[in-house]
Amino acid sequence: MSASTAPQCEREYDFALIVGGVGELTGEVEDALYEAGCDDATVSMQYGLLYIEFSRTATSLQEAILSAIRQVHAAGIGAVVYRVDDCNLVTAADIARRIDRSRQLVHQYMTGQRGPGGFPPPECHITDGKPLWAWCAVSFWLAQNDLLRPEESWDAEVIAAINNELEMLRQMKRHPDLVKKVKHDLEAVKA
Amino acid sequence: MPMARKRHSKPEVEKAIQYAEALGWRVEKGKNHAIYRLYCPHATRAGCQVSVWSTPKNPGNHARQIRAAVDRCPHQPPTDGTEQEDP
Repeated sequence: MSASTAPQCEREYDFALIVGGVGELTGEVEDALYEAGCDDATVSMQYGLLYIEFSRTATSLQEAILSAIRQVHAAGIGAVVYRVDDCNLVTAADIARRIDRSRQLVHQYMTGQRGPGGFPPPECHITDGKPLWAWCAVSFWLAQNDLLRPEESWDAEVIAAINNELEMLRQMKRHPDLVKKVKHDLEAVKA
Repeated sequence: MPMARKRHSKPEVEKAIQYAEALGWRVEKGKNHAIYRLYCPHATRAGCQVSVWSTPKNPGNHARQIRAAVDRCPHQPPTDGTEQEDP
């Protein structure tokens, strides 16, 4: 799967950012976000975090999300975007819901009773009876087998890439030496 | 629900505010870009808050997002009690 290089039309993308670093929702915070360009979003606060829900017109989801992150950081209110509100790890029930199919059918895809076979194995919790799958891998398989629009699979990759980078940046701030050491050691054991 | 405030100039946003009010949310007047701030019934710092723009870029989207934020609030009983998550 790869991003289309053809010129793309603008369309509206819905997504939400979870934002830390702002302890209180004040008039100053609201004005700064509005003036930074977030007038196409609704700002709310829950669990002490800002939840900013966008409906943004852009040529791609990637452009929409990255421009929103830039604006939130540029608002000058100490905001730190933690992640795009979407979890890459999903249950079998989540998969069924995301593709609007029954859990039984998803189970049959997994076991090879239906579909072309080769369903991706789970990523974690594989020993406790509650396995989780990576939506990126699952949506890639679904798109390859014409069970999901390729754009949806690509969007899953975009969101996961952005969230991975945001998580890495936050961890880098907390424990820079650890991140550098792990990166270095992993590069040394690359096949 | 008595309304001791000015109506929002965008009817769809006004309806979303009234939706929140009907579920026990409190409406406080804001200033500048956020004309109102909505507070959920759990009136502490841990409660939910939603900012309402005076001039949202797209009033229809803003109204939909306000309703979604109200529906996400964990501090109010479900409206019909039928929504159950898959285990």
